[in-house]
Amino acid sequence: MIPSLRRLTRPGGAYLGVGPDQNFTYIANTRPSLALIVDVRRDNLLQHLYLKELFRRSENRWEYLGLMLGRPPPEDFRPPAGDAAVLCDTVRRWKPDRDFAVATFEDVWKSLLRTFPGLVSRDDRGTLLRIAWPFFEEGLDLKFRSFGRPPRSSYPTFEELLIAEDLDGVQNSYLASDTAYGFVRRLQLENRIVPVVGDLAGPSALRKIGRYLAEHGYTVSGFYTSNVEFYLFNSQTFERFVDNLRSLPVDDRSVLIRSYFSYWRHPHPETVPGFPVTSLLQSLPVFLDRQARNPDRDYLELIFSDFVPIASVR
Amino acid sequence: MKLRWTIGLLLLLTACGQSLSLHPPELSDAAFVRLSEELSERPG
Repeated sequence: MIPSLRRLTRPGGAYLGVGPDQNFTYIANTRPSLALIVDVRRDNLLQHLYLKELFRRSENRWEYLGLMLGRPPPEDFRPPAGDAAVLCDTVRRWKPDRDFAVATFEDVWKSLLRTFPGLVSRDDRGTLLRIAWPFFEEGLDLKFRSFGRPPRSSYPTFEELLIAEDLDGVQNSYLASDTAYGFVRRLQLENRIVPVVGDLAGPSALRKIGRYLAEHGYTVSGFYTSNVEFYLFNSQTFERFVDNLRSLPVDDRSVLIRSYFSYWRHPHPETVPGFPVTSLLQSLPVFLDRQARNPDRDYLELIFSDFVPIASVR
Repeated sequence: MKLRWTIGLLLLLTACGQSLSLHPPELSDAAFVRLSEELSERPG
């Protein structure tokens, strides 16, 4: 899907997205001037601030992954050329170092309190540690899990996400190349990846974002909604989300990026055989036009309507 | 020759303009905090 996303979107716009670091992959491939990460979970803001500090400390993706996983590089290490598979193989050989991981966390924590006092308070330390520590303990084998539940067996590991290939066999994650990492790091250093706490169907965040983008001459290039719309339909707030989307400045190349978790129940025409999750693209203006004429009644109707066939833009 | 220089200059100016529009100035740490706070939903 990533090559199609690159072809569909216009660089230099504003990127919006929910969730943690998968956004960096979409950012590296849509090359916006500004990225706003909007998530109802404040923990997500804390995680983004933590990762931002890791970017600041890491001139290259090897250092970044080593810091994130608590594995210091050998003293004589020189970054080789290589994709994310080479990166992961290399960092796997570095020994986990608890003292190094603790020192990294404490250093980042002090820096966050000092640099972003309006966004972080002393009470956040435990939450941030709970977010950061599994990356040290489980390393590249870490899998997503929600509170109190083990990960589903079909969930990919962190490494599998980093080395995922597109349909042409090319790795596109933000850690797959120096160029991709360098682009995201530059935006981070320039403070142009901004985490925001907001409900996509809430009364103000997306509307304020729409006003800000319009006032500063930005157009939305990509908006990664993951599977949030599934929950919005369940809470009967999907229409409010659509209303909020109308406040965003869009053009004919603005796209929605969705993750559809079929778990093999309702396979999608875009599903790659063997994968339980399907990434989907949809034109944002086409979506808004359809909602105005004939609103979707449920999540499956949304997912199966007016998606961009990947083969048409490869 | 003159035409070639003019076209070259125009291409250069266009490239500079595009480059500037793609790279707005960075935000200070304080502006970053302010923007995040301003755009966030207010609790309650």
